Amino acid sequence: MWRKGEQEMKTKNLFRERRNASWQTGLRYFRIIAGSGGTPLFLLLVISLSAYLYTLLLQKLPHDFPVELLLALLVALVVTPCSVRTFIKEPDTVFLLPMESHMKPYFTASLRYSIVIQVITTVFLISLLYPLYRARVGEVDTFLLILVGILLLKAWNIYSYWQSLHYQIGRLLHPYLRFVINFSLAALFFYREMAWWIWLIFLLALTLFTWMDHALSDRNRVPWYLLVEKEEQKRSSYYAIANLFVDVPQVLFRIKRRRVLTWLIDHLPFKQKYSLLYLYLRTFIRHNIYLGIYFRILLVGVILISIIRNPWLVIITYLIALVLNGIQLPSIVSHHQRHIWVQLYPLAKSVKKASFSQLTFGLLTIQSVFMILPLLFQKENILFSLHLFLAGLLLCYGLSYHYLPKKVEIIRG
Amino acid sequence: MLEVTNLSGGYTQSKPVIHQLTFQVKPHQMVGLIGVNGAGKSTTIKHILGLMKPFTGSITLNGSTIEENPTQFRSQIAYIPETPSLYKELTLWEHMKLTAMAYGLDEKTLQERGKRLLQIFHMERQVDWFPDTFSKGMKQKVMILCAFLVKPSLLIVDEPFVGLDPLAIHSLLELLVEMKEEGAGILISTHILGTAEKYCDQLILLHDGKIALQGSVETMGEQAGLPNATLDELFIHVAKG
Repeated sequence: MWRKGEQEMKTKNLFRERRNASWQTGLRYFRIIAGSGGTPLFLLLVISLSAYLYTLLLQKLPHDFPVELLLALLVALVVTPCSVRTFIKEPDTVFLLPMESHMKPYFTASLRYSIVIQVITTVFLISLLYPLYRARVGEVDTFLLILVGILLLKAWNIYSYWQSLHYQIGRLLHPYLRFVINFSLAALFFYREMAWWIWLIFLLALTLFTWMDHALSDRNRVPWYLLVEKEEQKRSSYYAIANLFVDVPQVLFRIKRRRVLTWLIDHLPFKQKYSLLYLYLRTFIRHNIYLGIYFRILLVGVILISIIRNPWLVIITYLIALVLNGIQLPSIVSHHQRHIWVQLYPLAKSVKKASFSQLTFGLLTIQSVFMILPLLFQKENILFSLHLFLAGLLLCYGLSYHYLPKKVEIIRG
Repeated sequence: MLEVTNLSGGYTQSKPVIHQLTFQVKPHQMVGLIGVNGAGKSTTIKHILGLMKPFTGSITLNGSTIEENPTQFRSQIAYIPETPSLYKELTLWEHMKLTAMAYGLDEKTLQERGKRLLQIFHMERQVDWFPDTFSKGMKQKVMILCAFLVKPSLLIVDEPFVGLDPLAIHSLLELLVEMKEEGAGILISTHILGTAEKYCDQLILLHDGKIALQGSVETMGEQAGLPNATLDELFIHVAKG
């Protein structure tokens, strides 16, 4: 009995060590990012813009708009996605496997940790809804009451999600079911509907869920591989965010096939000098982050240029959007430079450099075309649009052929 | 074709891993590089590939060194690494296409050689798969497919048999013999002494970064003062000092 307790103590301490190590890494990146020049400025820009759009929404929202439903939807979108940080790594499937029966304290600690962290982020996100609630629905005291309800709901969601990881079947359906429950409950909160039978139905639904958790899950086994996969996804999404600001060597990318876009780039000529461009283009299209960031910046750029009236602000937005997309591209190359094949290919250094410049110039030119379209549709000042477009192209050229190649360490070396 | 002369090298100047290696690989020749773990086989290969810089000595391929013309030098070599290294973002066929493009083959050659190789290694069903679904053996096959696609004048193979199924080992050996007959030189590092003895024209037995014995099994036996010894006996004799 005494030995058993000792093993349990060890796994619990192991969790604590891993959690601390993870926080240290996180803080290290945070320091680097906060210290790097443009980042805080960029975030400030994004935040003030969002605040501006939020106040605009509060003013312009029609009076018969069902705010309660919108709030319920947003709450459900915040409450439903859950994760449990287990810090389980691939080698654990070998080295921790003998400890499987002693892992309970480890996972209890991890569940508790995840609930605390996500309850805190939920408080933050839900408070953002307060101005909307205050303007249309009710007072601060009822909001606080609702907040407590939402936090309990969140904790239950995380617990239920954790159970669902043990399911033998039906795991992928689980978030949708939770979404329905969360949305309905949140709507009841906001409508302050008190009819007892509605609450009864929900009590029954929750009981059903809890029963399902117990019936469908094999709770004696640890779903090791699933945990490794979830943990890698979580880590790679953190690194992907950090990678926007600093070069993160250990970014784990997820790959998507994206048939249509692949088909679009399949017309690249079959020539030796385009071989790296072939690789870079596929990398750009199939990685979870590059393309996502590219489209988001493009979209935000197009929207801002359509609504901003001040010509100076239009110029600044246009050029900044190009720079923002440009600076993420060198990591496509440095990502591959360490690859043995890229080192062994019989390609001259000039070809390697040219491939990167072609990629960057192509992508940025496409972006500048799309961002000029809203100005052309307004037909107010065609000459202004053309000048801006030319300035944009010049910037694209400078970025692609002079500034950004210097950022790719190995091309230089 | 490949001339390695007095090659010394390693990761740090103060601690060379390989010492004064001299050997050749001629056309129509398969040379086996054998030795215990850590004897310097992979380090030797990395130097020939130009991934590491020699401290002293020279490596020439068909008369020129990598410094003189890196592109030309590299275009004559293909390599099958010990640990498969693939692009996560490319499918099997795209790996072959990229290799063909990078080595300046034309599309027709890619189609012809590629289809045949896929058939030989039973990988036709997997052409559109991404490598994260591949087993170790399948990943190794991708490396083999790409190397044979290039048809270089020098093929360097580092411990290729681990993880391959017997059928694939058989096909690989057949292809190696075929390439040799067509005039290529092959440098192969392996622990499987039986295969090395049977297929290689020359053997190099490395020990502690130096060439302990070199030549055919008979000449190696004479060098060691153990005539009529088998390769296994010679190997153990050298390895135990």
